Parts: sequence; C-alpha cells; structure tokens
Amino acid sequence: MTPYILRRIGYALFVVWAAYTVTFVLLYLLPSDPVELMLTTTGAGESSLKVSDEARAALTAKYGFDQPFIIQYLMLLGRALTGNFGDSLQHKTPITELIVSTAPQTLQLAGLALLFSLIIGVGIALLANFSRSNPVRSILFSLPPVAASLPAFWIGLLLLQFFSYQLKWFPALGNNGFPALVLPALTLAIPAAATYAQILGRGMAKELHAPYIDIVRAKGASRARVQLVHAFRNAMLPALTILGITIGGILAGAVVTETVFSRRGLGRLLQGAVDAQDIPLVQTLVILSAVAFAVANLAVDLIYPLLDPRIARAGR
Amino acid sequence: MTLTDPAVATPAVDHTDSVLRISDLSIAYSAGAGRRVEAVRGVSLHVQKGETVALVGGSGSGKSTIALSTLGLLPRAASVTAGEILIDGIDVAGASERTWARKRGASISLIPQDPTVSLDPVYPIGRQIAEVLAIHGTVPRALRRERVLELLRQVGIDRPEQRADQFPHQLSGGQRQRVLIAIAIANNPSICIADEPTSGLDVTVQKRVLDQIDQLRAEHETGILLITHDLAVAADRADRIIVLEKGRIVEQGTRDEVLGNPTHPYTRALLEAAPSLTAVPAARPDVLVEAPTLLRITDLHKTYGHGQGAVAAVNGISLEVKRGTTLAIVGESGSGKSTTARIITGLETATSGTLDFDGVDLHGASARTRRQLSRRIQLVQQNPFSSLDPRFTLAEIIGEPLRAFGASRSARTPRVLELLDQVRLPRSFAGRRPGELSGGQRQRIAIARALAAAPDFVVLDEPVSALDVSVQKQILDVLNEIQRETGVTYLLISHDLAVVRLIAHEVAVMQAGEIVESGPTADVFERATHPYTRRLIDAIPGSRHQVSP
Repeated sequence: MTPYILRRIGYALFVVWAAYTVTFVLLYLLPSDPVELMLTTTGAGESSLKVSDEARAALTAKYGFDQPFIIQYLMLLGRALTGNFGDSLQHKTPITELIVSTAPQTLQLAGLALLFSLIIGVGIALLANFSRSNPVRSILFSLPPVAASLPAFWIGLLLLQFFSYQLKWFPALGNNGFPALVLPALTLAIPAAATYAQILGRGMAKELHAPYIDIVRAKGASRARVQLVHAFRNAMLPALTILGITIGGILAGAVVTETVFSRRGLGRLLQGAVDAQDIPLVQTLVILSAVAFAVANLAVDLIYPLLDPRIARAGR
Repeated sequence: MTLTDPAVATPAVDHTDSVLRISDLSIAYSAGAGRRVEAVRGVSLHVQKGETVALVGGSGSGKSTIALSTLGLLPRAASVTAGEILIDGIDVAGASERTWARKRGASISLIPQDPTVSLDPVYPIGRQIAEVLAIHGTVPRALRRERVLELLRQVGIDRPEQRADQFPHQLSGGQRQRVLIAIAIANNPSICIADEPTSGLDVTVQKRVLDQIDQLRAEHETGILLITHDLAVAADRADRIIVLEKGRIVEQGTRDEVLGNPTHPYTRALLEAAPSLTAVPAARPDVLVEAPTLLRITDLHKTYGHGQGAVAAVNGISLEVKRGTTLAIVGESGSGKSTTARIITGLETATSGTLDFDGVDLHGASARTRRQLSRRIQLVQQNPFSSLDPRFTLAEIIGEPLRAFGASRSARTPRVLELLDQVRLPRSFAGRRPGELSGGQRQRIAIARALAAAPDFVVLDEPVSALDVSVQKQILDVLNEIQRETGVTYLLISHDLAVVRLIAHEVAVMQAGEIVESGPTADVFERATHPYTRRLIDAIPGSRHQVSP
C-alpha cells in the first residue's frame, strides 16, 4: 500500500512543479519587459518617461531580471518553496498576504458549491434510475447534458434576475454572510452537478443491467437495496475521478462567478491581475490552482483503493 | 392442463410434491410500435422435490425467458400473457414486486450462467452470502458469519475463514460459481434454477460444479431446473428432459426415453450435434501418413517476469504439425496452450526455442520475414462477437487481408464470393454487416477472413466454444470440408475434448506449460496413460450416459 501512496504523492508534486515551470517559462519569456510593466503600472496613468535609466537598472537588479534565465528560475523557485512569492506589482503588498486575506471567501464559495453540486447531481442520478415513470426518467436523464452546456455567466445572470430582482430572496451582490453566498455557489454548482448526474446516472443505468444485479435481485433484495447498495456503489467509482477534476477546476469557475456577483475572492483577484499584467500575482494564482487540482486528485487517488478492492490489490 | 401439441404427451402426475409447476405459460416481448413477439407459447412443466429436470434448446428457444419468468426477473419489455407459475403451490405469475422479493432467495434461487460477472466486485464474498441471509432474516446477525463459513465449507471452498473476506476477483471462475451456489442454497430453497451453470468454465471444473449441484440436490431434496443448450450435460444430470424449440415444448420424457428414442426431428438434430454423444468419431479428412512436416517446434520456452517472480507459461514443449492435418493442443486455463498459439501467430515472442515453419525459423525471424509469413499463418479467434468490426460490411471484412497484401478491388470481389461459398454462406451476405448475423454466421465470416489470403496454416483458438452445441457441429463440418478442399493445416486450441475428437488428427495434451501426452487422436482417447488426460476425458459431458443410437 505504501508504495502506492508515495507514488501518488510524487505525481501530485510533479504536477505542481510542472505547472510552476510552465507558467514561469510562458510569463517571463513573453516578449515584454517586466520592469517596463512594473513602472507602467506603478506610475499614475500611462507615462513611465520620468524614470531614470539608473532607477530602471536598480529595479532590474533588485528583481534579478539581469540574471540568466536559469538563475532567475531557480531563485524564484527557491523563494516560492519557502512560501515567499514576492510582491504584487499592482497592489504593492506581499502576494502571500493578499491570498491569505481573499482565499477564505473563495473557499467558502467553493465548499458550498461542492456541497450543492453533490446534492443536486447525486439526487438527479438516483431519482432518474429509481423512478418508474417513463416521462420522468427521460426528463431526468436528458437534463444533465442540457445543464452542462449552459455557460456559467448566463446561469448566474438568470439566477440573479429571478431570485434577487424578482423574488428578492437573496442579495444580488457582495460578500455579506451566507445569503450572499447562495446564488454564486449555485451558479458554480450547476455545471458540476450536471456532470456528476450524467456520469452517475448513466453509470447506474449500466450497472443495473450487469449480471451481478440479477443475482442480487434473485436474493430477494428490495429495489432500494439493489439501487443504493449495489448499483450506486459501483457507479460511484468513475464519478469519483470526475469529482477530483471538477474540484480542481473550481478556481477557473470562480473567475466568472465572482465577476458576475461582484464578490471579493481569488477569482476576482486573478481577473484583476491579468488585466493589470501583474505577472507575479498571476503566476502565484496559477500555481495555487495547480495545487488545488493536485490535492483534489491526490485525495481521490487515496480514497479510490478504499472503495475499489481491485485497485487496492493492484497497488500493493 | 392444456396441451398445445397432441404429439407431446404430458404424463399424468400427482402435483403434491411439485415445487415448481408452470402451466400453459406464454410470454411475449414488445418489439416497439405495438408489435409483440411471442417467445414462449403455452409451455407446461413441473419439477418435483429432489428432482433434476433439464430444459434443453438452442439460442432463441425461449429457455432463458422461462428461467427468468420463474424468478420474476423478466426484462421490462417482456410480459407473461397467459398461464400460471406455481412455486410451492402458490401462483406468482402476476405477483407484486414485494411478493416476488419474499420468494426470491428463500423459496426459489438462481445459479447463473457466467460466474465471473455475477458477483458484485466491490464486496467480499462472505458479505455477499450473508446478504441473502440478512434480507430474509433467516439467521440472526450474530450467527451469520458462522452460517456463511458453513456454506462455504459445504460447497467445497478451501480455507473458508480467509476466503470469506476475499473479493470476487481474487477467486477463480470455478470458486466463484461455488460461492454463487452457496448463495443459491443459503436459505434451503425448494427449487433452484440453474441457467447454463457451467458455460465459460473449464471441462474438469464443469464436472465438479455439476457434481456439487447434484450433491446438494440429493442432500436438501431441492428441485433443480437445469437450463442448457447441451444435450450431453442434460444426459448426465437430468431425471427428465424437456426439449424446447421456438418457445414450444417439442419433446419431453424421462432421460432414457428422450435420448434412447427421440421422436421429434429437432431432438434428433440436437442429439446428433452433441459431439460427445455420437459414437461416430469424425468426418475429418483422411491424410497421407507420410505428409511432410509444416511446423516443427523444439524446446519452446516462454517465461513472464524475472528472478523469483518468474512464471513459466510454456516450459520446453516440442511438437510437429504435418501439412494438411489438424493438431489439437488441449488443456485448461493456464496450461499454456493459448500462449503457444500466440507465439506461433507472432503476437508474443518466445523466451527460447526454435519454431521451424517450412524451413524458416520464426523465433529469430526479422520483422520483414514475419510480415511475409503472416500471409501464410492466420488466426481465427474465440469470440466472433468481438472479432469483427461492426461498421464494415462482410465483403470488406473478408477482403481486408487481401487489401493488406496488395490485391486490387476488382481482384478482391470474386475471391470474397468464393470464400462465402467455402464457408457455406449465401453470396447475398456480402453487403451485410456483422450486427445482422448470428454467432455461428459470424464465426464463418471470421474463418473466411482467415482463409482470404490462402494461408498454409490456420490457428483456431477455441473456434466454437462461444457457440451453441448445435452450431458447433456445423462450424466443425465447414472446417473439415475446407481442409479437404484446400489442404490447409490447422492448429486447434481447445479445452473441449469432444470438439477435438471431431476434427483433430493428432492431439497434444498440455498441463502447466508442458505436454504430458500426445499422439494420434484415437490412441489418446482409447489408451490415455497420463492421469490428467484421463480426467479430461472423464469430464466430457455425456460420458456418464452412454446411448445406443
């Protein structure tokens, strides 16, 4: 078992390292001068003309931009390993502080969205298979593909229009407490829920035709037992893999959702950083999302053998 | 009781001991657009306490539909249109799901067709046996584990304490079938439906599983309804035999009546098709004794893995195949027979040894030589359902090897038609696709494809084991005729000695990677010296019951 865990952790570390390296190469080797960018964003307005060449050189030396590429890379990687990602060009504060102060907002959003997506997704999958009425079944089976193809911003606007402006159940904007969290979380949850419902619903329908289900039924098992204890339990395995992937992608979803609902959070922070070409901040946020992705998938990989005895054996 | 066919006399019986009684049962499938297809028409049968009744028929005879209906497990599209199903004297034909649930697993149980896919892969087997006890509340929770171990011991599973905590994938096919039998008998049902319980198992394992079912029937006086396509299995195990064709009973009676004096042509056809029941050995082509050697294998080894974990799949075998003859390699799963076939066809590389094919050593051959030789060595695979591309027409499938070896389209068409003739399929099939064919027809197409490039040597890897017995005979006949016409050489890989006897000139018996016995087919069958060969011969279904034709 231990080699399996170590190997999985190794993969996760590799993913994070690769994400760091690729973003470093992409962002720092772009045909733009980071110092130029820094001065542009620093100065009020467009002008950077007043900066002297000496000041420019000092700045270049300070950030190590005069060093060869590989030295720059190793220097920054070393700093990143100690948790120091440098200062944001746009906000003039250490990036770590920025993230620590905004991350909780996004974590709350992501957590609630995950909860919603699981409840909705699993609920639809179970109902679609449990229902005996053919019209209900076909509606529940065709709902997920439709929902999965709706763009998040459109869902967000629709929810706003209906639940905030017309029914006035939830606030439209802002970060104030739980009610303000519901609509953004739903917006983020619906595409994910659709994916789970699709994979789980179809998976269960397939399992229900498996020969072992006939044996369970021949034992005299109730419908509920056949569906929950056997079909659901087996269909869960592929759905778990998808869960890992969607959790990883939640930061990407947060960009749109937080913009639509004007919430403070990592998504908005990323959007702002890209607008302002705040390269160190962009890179840190990309790495953060790589870490989220790697951790979510690591968790899935570690849970998987507990649920599927065939994997547990192969990993030993 | 209604008789649908006056020729089939239903014996008058006292039904007080009937654990299962079906009267005048009709079942129809809805085929869309309000159309209905009758799968079972007016079938009446009964099974007494402690009796084995075999329900015999080919694919599409309705035997499996009857089996499912007695368990209330018919698919949604099917419904009972008339008749009664009585379990322990109570009619359950139109019963609610709840009533069925109370019966299933308690009064009536199922031993299924394919044990490898019939257990839930995520739960330990002990828990799956305990489930049937828990559902019906027959054994209090505290005593369940003890009962599970007792059942495992009863069905002959070794080390029950450890096995109970193992998962299905850790058990062999035969062991899994034993677990399924344990589930079926856990609550001492009055009737057990055994639906082709040994298809997919090795012959010797088949025998042990059938023995096990027999023993349990005797001990618990359980009635057994044995569903099978193989009249030989029925001959060995059943007290009475019922023959089903197209949803109707065409013949029934005691085993000796049906086998000794079959009246219906379909029964006679089945009897003739059962290879092991016919005394006539073979229609295989006679060969010149002095035929030259086409393939000579010397000291062939194939080892998987390294060091201490190394497993020898093939351990120094030597054999010779003469041109125009058939050599059969016989053995069970894990004997190394399939590995040998894969090495000959170039799908695997041998660890050491020589394979002299018509003067060329296959083992040391360059990729280019191998490719040239691949025209001369062809393969027919076991499963005709997965070996044909469903989107190709049959002409494209058969013509593909020709295209690969550079034949033009105009040259391909007449050859394809000629090949369809050779495998006895109508020429009009050329434009069809595999989905429109039966299993036997598909296997003919696979044979035609293998023959397309006029090979000298065809490896037949279990060519009929996925087919009904009646279809098996037809395919073997086609193979024999082709050999007579073209002089092609066959290497047959099989676990079924009954099939081997019909087609092979020589036999090599493999066990654990080694050839334990070999020689001309008749010699091996009549004077087998190795205990393993004797066990294989003994396990052929039908050998317990000798019929005089």
